[in-house]
Amino acid sequence: MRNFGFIGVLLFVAFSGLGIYTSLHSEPVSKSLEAGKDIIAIAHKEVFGRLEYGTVLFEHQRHVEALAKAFKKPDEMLCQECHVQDKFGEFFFEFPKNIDRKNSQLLKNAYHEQCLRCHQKLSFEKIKTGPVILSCRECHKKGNEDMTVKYPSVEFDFSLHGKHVEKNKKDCSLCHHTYDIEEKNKELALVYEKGTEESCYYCHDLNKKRGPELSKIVKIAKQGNWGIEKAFHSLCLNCHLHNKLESKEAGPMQCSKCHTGKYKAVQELKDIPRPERDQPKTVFINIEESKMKGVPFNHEFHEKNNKTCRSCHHETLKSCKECHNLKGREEGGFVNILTAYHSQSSQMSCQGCHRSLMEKKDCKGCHYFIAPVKTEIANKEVCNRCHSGKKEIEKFALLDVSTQKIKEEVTIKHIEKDFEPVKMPHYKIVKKLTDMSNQSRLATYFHKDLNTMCKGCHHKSKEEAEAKKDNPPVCTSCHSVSFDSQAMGRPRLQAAYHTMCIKCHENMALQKPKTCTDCHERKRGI
Amino acid sequence: MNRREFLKKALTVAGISFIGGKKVYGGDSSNLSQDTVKSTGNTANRKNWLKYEAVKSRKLPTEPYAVLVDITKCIGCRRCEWACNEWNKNPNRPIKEFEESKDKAPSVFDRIRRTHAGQFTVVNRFYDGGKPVYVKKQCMHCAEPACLNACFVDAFKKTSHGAVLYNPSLCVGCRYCMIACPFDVPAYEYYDPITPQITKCTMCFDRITESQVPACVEICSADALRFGPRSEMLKLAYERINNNPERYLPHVYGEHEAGGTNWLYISGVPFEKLGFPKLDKRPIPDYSKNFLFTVKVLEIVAAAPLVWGAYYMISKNRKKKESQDVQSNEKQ
Repeated sequence: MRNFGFIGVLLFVAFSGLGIYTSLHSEPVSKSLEAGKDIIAIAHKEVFGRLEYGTVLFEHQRHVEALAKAFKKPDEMLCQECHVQDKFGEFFFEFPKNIDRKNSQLLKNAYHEQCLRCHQKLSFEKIKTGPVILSCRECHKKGNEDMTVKYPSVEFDFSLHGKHVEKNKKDCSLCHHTYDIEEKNKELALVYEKGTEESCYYCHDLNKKRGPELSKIVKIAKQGNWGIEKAFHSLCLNCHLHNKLESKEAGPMQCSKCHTGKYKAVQELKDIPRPERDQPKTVFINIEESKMKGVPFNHEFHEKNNKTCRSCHHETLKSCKECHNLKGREEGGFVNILTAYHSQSSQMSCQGCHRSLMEKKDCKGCHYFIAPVKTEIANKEVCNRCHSGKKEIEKFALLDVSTQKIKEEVTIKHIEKDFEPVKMPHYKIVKKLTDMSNQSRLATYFHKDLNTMCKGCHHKSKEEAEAKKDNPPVCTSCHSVSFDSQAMGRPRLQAAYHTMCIKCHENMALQKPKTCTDCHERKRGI
Repeated sequence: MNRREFLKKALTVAGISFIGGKKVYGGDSSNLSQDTVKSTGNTANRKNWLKYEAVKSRKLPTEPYAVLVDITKCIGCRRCEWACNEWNKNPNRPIKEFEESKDKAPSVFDRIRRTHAGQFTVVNRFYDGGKPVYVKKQCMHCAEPACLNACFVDAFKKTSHGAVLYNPSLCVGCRYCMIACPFDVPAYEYYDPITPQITKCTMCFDRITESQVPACVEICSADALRFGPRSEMLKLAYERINNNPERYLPHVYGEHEAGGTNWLYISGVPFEKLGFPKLDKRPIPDYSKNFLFTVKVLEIVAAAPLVWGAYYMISKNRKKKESQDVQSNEKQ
């Protein structure tokens, strides 16, 4: 018995030791906070590297309310308590004030000093406040060491833009500016010039590689650390603040009011007027000395079907020809105009974007199997869909399946050993696919007659012998029931059906069939 | 109940639950993968070896065959498993049960399985962004097999058809091949005390020599498996990759891995996420070839002197001891 007790003690010691060891050596979990209280995580890992005491979670809104109570001032009069102003009264929304933010020692001291000074001042006046002495763990709380707070980015979409345009009576200069590189005096370099309004991202997105012209400006933006976040916060918040001080209707000033994480879809923005910059409704894209005929391009339609102008105009709102030419030049990153329009891998080129649209579930059913036409081996017929040489945009007729003689139902019965025959609703499938195709402008361009739609399943209709016939080939014309030693490369009939049907249903994200018996009932008695 | 009795009972309960009460008390045994088969009666490896002996004198193919597995096409019906068991006369269940496992919960797919005695191939399910991806696993039939190199009784044979065959009559059961194989393929009949053998896929050697395709390839109902000369299969693989760059990764697994294998895989999901080992081009035997050769040489050359030396030392010691004993006896 004593023996057992001794072993028990040993075991207990061993296990508790293990427990302590694992708890010490378990990986820290970084949690992300719900944005709601306008919490800001103060960490500055880019300056401090490894943190000695972990992140401090700062509740911005709570401080604003506390100060408002203490100083008996409305919220909008309080910013200067913590934030610094330039001589024009514009705020820089950063804290601590007036120090070199790259120097870790100075930054640390400034935080400690400026936070505590204010706390002490208030506590002298017998007002409830935060920590008044340097007691580390009161701010650097134990549980928050690896906390990160991520606010979802704000999309200044066309509806928001539209609201601002309306409110400011089409005065673009309130937000838009360009940087005059030639100007010696840096304070005067930010100028507004009508007709040059562009996206903020062109100059303030510091992570993107830009062309030679834009790079000069981005370099200057980098020096002042004017990234997207700082630029937007300065511009939006200062303006909202001024409006509020002048007791006009003003935009939000709390983090979570803008950073909602809700984004509008393209569909919701369809009816909102786009920014006016004298852009044409239709363009006839015609490159001099090129081998191909020109392409009529519906600019307006593409505006309505994209979230931003940046989707295509990746660096400037000028036309593509300004930077890209037939040979390729430095301004266009040596990308020639042919590639600029046809690159398969880019999201800014016509073909690249159109091709990625095939990934939509409505299209992918067929286009999963149909390898897209490559520019290098395209045929006349396909190229001429766009390169019509006509100035006006063609209207393509919608496909009509009602008058055609399409089989209502197809019965597949090669599986009668184990399963009941399958009744495939042939007409229903064709109807659904053509309806989808008719809804998409891009699809109507390329699906020019019903035979094109048949090719989705009847994939060998293109073969010359087959093309002469009235009807597309049926599966059994090529795929034999058992393995064909003459054509090893050809799937058996069952495999052909399964590949086509199952993959198409999968890619179109259809709910049925989920199991074997959704298509074919098992024979009774098996 | 005294303590001894309590412990006895507790251990019994624990033991049964550990082994699996189902087996002991005759539960539902429809779950194939967890069946510890009492006897596979596996004859496939032996049969294929005899087949190999028989066709050795025939005209051999100039190029090895290969199977191309297109992971994007597999629908997880597990018919290949059924067909494999059926052809190789391994324990089997009705095909319906195999087909159903995809839609069942709990399912055989819930855990990652490996081949074991009496099951030459398994299909595993992985998830890629919520979408199921099915991967068939079986012997990869390497061009330079690690198992063959690790075997010191030459129980493995790489045939010119591409298949790696195993000869149970030579095997001593050391299971070095199981450790050598980077794909964890060879399995062992642990339950058989007298004549256990390694079991593994034979690439249906007895079928491909009779101009049939392997059983799994024949039954595949999704065109996920293709059989043919290796160069043609590689061509087909690259054709598919080039025609559908967004559907496939530009990598044929098995083209160069471990010196090349005769089962090739193409996929849209990175192979390391699908349980494939990351291997470089160097064949595994390369690492150990020279050393093992030296061992063999030593065995032949140095064995006799070593044995003699050992004998000599022992007898010398004995003589010394005896003379010491004699001396001490004299002293007394």
